[in-house]
Amino acid sequence: MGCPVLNEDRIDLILRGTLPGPDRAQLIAHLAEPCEQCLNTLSGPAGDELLDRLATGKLDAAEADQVFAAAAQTVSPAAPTHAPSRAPRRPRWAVRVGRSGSRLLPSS
Amino acid sequence: MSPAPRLVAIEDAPQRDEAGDVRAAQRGDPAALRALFDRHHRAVLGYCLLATGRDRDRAVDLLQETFCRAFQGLGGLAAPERFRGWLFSIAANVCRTRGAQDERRRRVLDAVQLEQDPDAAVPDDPAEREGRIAAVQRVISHLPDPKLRQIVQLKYCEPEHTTREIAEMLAIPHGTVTVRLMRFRAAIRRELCRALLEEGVA
Repeated sequence: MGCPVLNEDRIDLILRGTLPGPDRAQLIAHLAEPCEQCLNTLSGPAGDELLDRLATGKLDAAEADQVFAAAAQTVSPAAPTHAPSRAPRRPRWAVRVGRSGSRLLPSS
Repeated sequence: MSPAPRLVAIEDAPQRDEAGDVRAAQRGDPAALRALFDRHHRAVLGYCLLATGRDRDRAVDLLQETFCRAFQGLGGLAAPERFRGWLFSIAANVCRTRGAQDERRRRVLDAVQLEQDPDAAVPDDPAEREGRIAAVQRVISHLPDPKLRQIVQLKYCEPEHTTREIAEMLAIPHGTVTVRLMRFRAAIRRELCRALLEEGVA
């Protein structure tokens, strides 16, 4: 028998990102209790799905290519990588440094 | 007629093993680097999103820096099967040094790191080590079974013991120790889900 609190309906709501506030509060309180059924649920595929929904982020394909290309460039110049679709992403601090540095240069 | 290369690559992907990919990547194999990136970047991005309070731009910067450092340091990774834990340790370090990890989020980030690689070796970094022990203690505090608590203390808190040593110390079969530890891993997930829901994720 499954857990009456961390049940299929609530898991479905979490996966959809539509868990109502009162349900969330009840679930948070319940997850602090020693419920063995919750452990069964969380060690199975439903637990994988839940954590995938709650604890991961997504990049679109172009972003993934761009981030990967920038990271792979650091390995060695000889290692061929997927060509980036755009220029490698620069950290925002580098962009800021570039801007402030250019302000220090004479304009002529 | 030869099959389309992309289709072959997709079909082969699930069969590639992690340690094999790490070894190939250490030799500079770009496909192996890409496989490692594809397999882990979503989880690392999730961690960075939590660390930055869901500032996506900043999280993507941290993700990129994590993989830059990981790929640069890959040659020095002696235990390829530990890649995921090692990667998360780099992510934690990047988030800390970039000031993205404040105390309010420390608890949930420690729980994520523990869930990603419960069997990782004791971290060298004192902050990481403390975080890991604190995360284990939080999970233990919600475990009603005293024997399981004892096993977890011996396995995860300093000094760490192997499962065989624990079985000998407690005079119980080795299989019992490993089964109980699997239960503990489910409890880590429960603690993580709770922390994530409290954090307002979902």
